[in-house]
Amino acid sequence: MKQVRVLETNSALMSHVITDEGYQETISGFSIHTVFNGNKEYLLGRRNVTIYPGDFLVLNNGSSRSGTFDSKSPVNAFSIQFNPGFLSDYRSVLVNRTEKLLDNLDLRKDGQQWCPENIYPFKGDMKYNIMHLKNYMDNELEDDLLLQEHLFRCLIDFSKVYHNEVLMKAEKLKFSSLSTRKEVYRRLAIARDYILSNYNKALTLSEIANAACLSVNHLLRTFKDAFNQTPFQFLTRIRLERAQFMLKTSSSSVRNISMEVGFGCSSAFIRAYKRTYSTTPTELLRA
Amino acid sequence: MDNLVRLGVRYPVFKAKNTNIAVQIYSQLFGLENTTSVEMFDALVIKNSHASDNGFVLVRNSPTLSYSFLTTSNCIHHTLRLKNSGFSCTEPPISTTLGLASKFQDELGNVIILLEEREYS
Repeated sequence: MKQVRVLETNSALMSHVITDEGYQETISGFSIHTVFNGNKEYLLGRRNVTIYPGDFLVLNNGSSRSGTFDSKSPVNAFSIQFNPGFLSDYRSVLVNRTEKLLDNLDLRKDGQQWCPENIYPFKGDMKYNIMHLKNYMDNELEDDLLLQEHLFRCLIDFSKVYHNEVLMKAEKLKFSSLSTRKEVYRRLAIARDYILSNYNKALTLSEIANAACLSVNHLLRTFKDAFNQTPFQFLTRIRLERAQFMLKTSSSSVRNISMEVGFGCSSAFIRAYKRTYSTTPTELLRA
Repeated sequence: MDNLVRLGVRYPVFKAKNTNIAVQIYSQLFGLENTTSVEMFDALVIKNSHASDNGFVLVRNSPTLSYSFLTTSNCIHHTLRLKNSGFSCTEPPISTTLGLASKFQDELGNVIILLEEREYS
C-alpha cells in the first residue's frame, strides 16, 4: 500500500507499507528515506546500504537509485522527495541576505547536489518533524501550507544534523588540508554506513576497511578521531541499540534477539547490555 | 503537607479590555465550543461546559500583561493556527533544549509562548 501526496511545490511525501518481498522502486531527486520497522535496502552506485528504524538515508538529486527490502514482515517506510526548485529556494534563503532574496531567481531552477549520500541518525527535531508529517499522511491532511512549512523545517533540521554529523566530525580529523579531511571523512562515512547496514553479520575490520578504501590501521586511527569510538565499539553500540528496539517492539526471546543483532552467544549479549544500560534484557522485558 | 507546586496552575490568564471579543478569540484558540463563564473577583473564568480541565481566565483591570506558556503537541501546526487567528508572531519556531517554541503577542501585548516539548536524549 502506497500513499503519495504531491504538494503545490511538486515536492512529494510517500508513506508506504511494503509487503511484497521482491519490491523494487526507482528513486530520483534529493530525498530523505526512513523506516519504522523492518529494513529497506538501497543500491547507491556500487554500494548497498540498508536502513533500519533509528536511521534515515539522504539521497541527492541527479541519478536514479533503486530500493528493495528483505524483511519477513511488512515494512512501514516513509520518504520525502524535494522538488529541486524548493530546495534551491531553501538554499537561497540560507545563503542570501533578505534584500537579495528576489535577485537571481534563476538560481532556484537548479538542484545541485549538496550533501553526502549517507545514513544519518533519526533523532531530535528531524524525528519529531518527520513523525508529524507521517501523522498528517495517515490522517490524510489536506493543508498544503502546513505540509510545506514542515518540509522547510525538515531541511533546517537536516542542516543541523549535517552540521553535527558531517562538518563537526570531519573537523576532528587531524589533517591540515581541508580536501584531505573531506576525503577521509567521506570514506569513514562509507565505513560507518557499512557497519550500520551489516551490523547483524560477523564483520571483520579488513572487510570494513576494504569497503571504505582505507587500510585497517588508517581506519582504526581516523574512525576513533572522527566518531570518538573504535569501529568495534561503534558496532557493539549499534547492535545493543537495535537489540533494545527489538526487545521493546517484538515478542522474540532474548536468545533470538542476541542472534538477530549479531552477537555470537546470548551471554556475551547480556553482559554487554548490562554494562551499557545497567539492567539486563530480561529485566527490560519484564518492565 | 503538599508543596505549593502541587497546587498547580489551573488556567492561563490574559489581560482583556473588551471581554466579549477576547472570549471569542481565546475560545477559538483553545478550541472551546460550549463555554461557561464565571465571574470571580476581577476575573472572568471561561471554561469548557463539559470538560472542566480546559479553560482560560480574562482579567479586566490587570495592571500587568500576561506571559503564558502553552504546551502543544505540534508547535508548527499551532503557530500557523495562531497566525491565522490574528496573533502577531514575534519569534518563529526555534529549537530549545526543552523543545520547539514560538512566541506571540495579542493586540493588548499579552505574550504567549507555544512549546512543543521534545525528548532529545
